[in-house]
Amino acid sequence: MADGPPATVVNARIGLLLRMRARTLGNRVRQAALDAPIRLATAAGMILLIWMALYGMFHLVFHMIRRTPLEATVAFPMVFSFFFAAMLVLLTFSNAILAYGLLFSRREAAYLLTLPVPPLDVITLKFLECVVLSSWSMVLLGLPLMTAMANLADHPVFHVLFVAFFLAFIPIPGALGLILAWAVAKYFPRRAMKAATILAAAALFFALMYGVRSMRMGDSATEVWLRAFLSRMGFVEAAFLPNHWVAAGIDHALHSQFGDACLYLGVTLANAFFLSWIAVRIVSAKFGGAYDHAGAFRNR
Amino acid sequence: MSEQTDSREPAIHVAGVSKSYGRQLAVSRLSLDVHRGELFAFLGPNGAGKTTTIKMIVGLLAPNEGDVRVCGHEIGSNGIAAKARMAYVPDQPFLYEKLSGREFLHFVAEMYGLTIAERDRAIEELIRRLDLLEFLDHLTESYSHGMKQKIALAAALLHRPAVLVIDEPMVGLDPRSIRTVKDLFLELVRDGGTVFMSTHALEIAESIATRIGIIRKGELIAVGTLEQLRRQARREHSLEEIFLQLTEENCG
Repeated sequence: MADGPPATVVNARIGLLLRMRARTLGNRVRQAALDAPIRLATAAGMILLIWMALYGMFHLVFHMIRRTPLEATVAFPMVFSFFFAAMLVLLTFSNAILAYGLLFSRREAAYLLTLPVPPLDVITLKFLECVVLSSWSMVLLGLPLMTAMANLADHPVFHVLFVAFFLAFIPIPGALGLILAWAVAKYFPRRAMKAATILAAAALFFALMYGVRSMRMGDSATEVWLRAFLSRMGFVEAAFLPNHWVAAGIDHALHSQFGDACLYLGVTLANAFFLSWIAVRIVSAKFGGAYDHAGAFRNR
Repeated sequence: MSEQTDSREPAIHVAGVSKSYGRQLAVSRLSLDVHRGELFAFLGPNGAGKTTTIKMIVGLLAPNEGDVRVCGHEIGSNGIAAKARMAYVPDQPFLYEKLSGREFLHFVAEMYGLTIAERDRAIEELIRRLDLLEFLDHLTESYSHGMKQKIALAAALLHRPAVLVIDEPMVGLDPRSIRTVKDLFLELVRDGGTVFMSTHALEIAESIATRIGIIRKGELIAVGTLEQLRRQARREHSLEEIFLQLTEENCG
């Protein structure tokens, strides 16, 4: 008699899901290489070109700044703090939009929900996909920045350390974006795009207003203006923000303070793991309700 | 989780289930038992609540009230156990476009915990029955609707599910494939399995269904064998006429 599998408790399927995803990616690349090799080569060449141009630009800038040690002491941590703060905001929104699409709009999530797969595995897969997909631009922009910076350090181990900081940071906006996408699906399913657009527009508006106000504070060429501007933007370097951990860690690494750099790397990694774990757990535990809520309006 | 299922339990047990979308009631206090060895045809006009009911049975939607059990396992709280015994094929089957048909079948087989030998045996038989060999190693993005339907059906039957839930199974299939699919369904129910089929093709329901349920405006207005429905409709005619009469009667 047909009674399905022998009532097996289906254990974690994340390995199977990841293998399947790797196979689809392999097939996609193989197909592109066979069907449109010139297009694939052009895309790869352009990415390499952009990467090298960015690396060259950052390399020049950092060497110029380094010629004046006093400015370098102030500028380097600020550059990284602002860079990672901007990335934190941008990647959170980017992850939220991707996570919403992958979890609540695409048919794959519905298909997986009809299979004996624990929701935790589905959410983990989608979280990893979001982090990879949303972070490619950061890899394109950030890696040349980090590599150019690493070249200023005296010890080759800092190359590894800088990349580690970079990778440790990426899951943090991923986790925040996942929670944001779930909250939108749960509480604003019919107005998901509208809500996301309004939120993004409001964030951009306030950022612009803040920037314009900061610029208008006085003569932009004076030291007073610079001090006031840095003072206004001081919140970006607050000790509880992830961008501060990364910037401080890089700064310590640059000054050969290996122990302190590792401490900040540990803080970043621990928070990245914890936030990711919390986000994936919460969303998988509450996914059914959010999917139902979002899907109910889509599938009448 | 219980490893054994009680054979006296209905394969599908739907008790007092309601579902609304905002203020619109899609399914209203629907109760229905589908037993092992039954091929149940679920009929109804467009927008009657068929798909909503199916989605609640397979665990894609949670009912606002009521209880859904598959092989004795509550779909909400013990969904994994229920889903391990079930297979669902929607009207627009989902396939991974960048996998070949064979790779997709391997993925599904592993998902249901089949051994390699079981998987290969099952795939071999389904290739032969559904005539899949010609396109099995092509990426599924190149498939026609009928080919997709056949691969989705093969994936659903790989693990010999106790319950097969299928929405419009024959759409896009050629006459030979329709015949094969009918035979596969009948073999499944003969072996003690259950098929829950939603369809607009009344002649197919008439020819293979053990029992038929008719839903209209979210309410189950008739359930029974073809003979019972004939008595209810007071007509000795085809299922089409019975369907039209019953759904018309309940309009007012």
